[in-house]
Amino acid sequence: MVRVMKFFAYSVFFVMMLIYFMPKISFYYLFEDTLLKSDVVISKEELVENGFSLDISNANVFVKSIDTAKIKSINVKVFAFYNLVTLQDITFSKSMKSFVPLHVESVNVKYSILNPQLISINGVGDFGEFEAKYSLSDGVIILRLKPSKLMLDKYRATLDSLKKSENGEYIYEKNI
Amino acid sequence: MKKISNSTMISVITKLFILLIIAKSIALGFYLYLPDQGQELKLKTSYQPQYQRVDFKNMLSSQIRTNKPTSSPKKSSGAKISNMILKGLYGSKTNGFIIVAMKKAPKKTTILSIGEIFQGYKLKRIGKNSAVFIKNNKEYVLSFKKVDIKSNITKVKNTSNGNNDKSISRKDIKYYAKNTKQMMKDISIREIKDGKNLKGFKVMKIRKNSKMASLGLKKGDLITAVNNTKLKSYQDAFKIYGDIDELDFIQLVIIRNNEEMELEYEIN
Repeated sequence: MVRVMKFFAYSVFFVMMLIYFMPKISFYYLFEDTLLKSDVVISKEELVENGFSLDISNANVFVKSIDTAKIKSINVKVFAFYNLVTLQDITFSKSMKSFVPLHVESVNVKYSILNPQLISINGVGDFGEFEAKYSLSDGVIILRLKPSKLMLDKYRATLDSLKKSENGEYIYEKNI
Repeated sequence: MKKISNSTMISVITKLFILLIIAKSIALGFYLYLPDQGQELKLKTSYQPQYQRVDFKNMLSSQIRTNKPTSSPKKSSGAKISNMILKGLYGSKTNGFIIVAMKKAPKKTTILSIGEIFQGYKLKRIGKNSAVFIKNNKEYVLSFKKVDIKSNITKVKNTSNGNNDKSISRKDIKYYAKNTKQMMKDISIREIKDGKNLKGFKVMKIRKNSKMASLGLKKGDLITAVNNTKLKSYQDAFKIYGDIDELDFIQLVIIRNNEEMELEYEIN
């Protein structure tokens, strides 16, 4: 038992050190290369590596070279067993104002080893609140939106493209 | 007892140190293997001149063509600004030229630079849709809207395929901008690439009897340029979409049955 405990302790130490020393900025660049294949570019951002986390600030997001959004801060925390990405203060480009409200307060993306097949996402903004689950096993994302009054009043066309549930939520389901 | 404890401690520290070295070495390996530079947006520079309606056909055919004003202040006929037509303009506030004519002789055009005089009116500056003249310390604005657009469209359009000029209501444009679902119902457009380069946007579907269909677009049309801007990227298309509220005129260059055509619309 003592041996097992020792092995476990050494393993945890090794994994934590590995995460600590990992070049997070280089991994972020690799992630950017992956995004580029889908014509998404994150530009002019500032990167700061802090031991177990990576801070990205003032990121401009371009989709197919179109200025799509500005994200004031992104915090990536990687602990192997529990990982969290927090995006704060997102402002969509004015050209999208006919589709969605432009300001999003925060979006959290969580991945825990306790539920290894699922990535949980939630967000709050002028559009209301949403919760989404992305299943890694079947590649399906299900998003449930509780729309704000603004969304209900001014963005009916966008809501119409979602499925309305009995409790008043709007559901979007897609196979990615 | 103390010796045993010390040796255990040393053994643990040694093991931890070895693990630390291994972790650092692996991280270093990743560092060497992973990219060392991020992606930044590389904008394709596409020259996009300010688009204005210019009666080029008339400019080329007209016998009287000069950069100097046709009349000096002395020869001023005392013509009213309301009798003048602004036929085209190009440039910024302080630089550029305009094309003017008198209503009674619309084909007799004159090109004026800033500071030059026409019918006693000195061109002071060029606006977005107008030119400002000065006479006797009083400013006169010759607006672009006074041009008989339809007659000009007929002259500049590619007439290879008959009657291509149409008019669109600004209300309809705003309607489609707000009701994207309806727009997607009425028309479906897909990018067409020639290798890595964007060739244009192909009309995959267009709903019969819709407002979109009434514009003259047909299924299979490949839209290659809008208002003299070649659509080389989504950015080009999106920029036009973003500025559509400010446009008075839209010109589409399309390829239909391997033949290039122009469709022109006046926005009312």
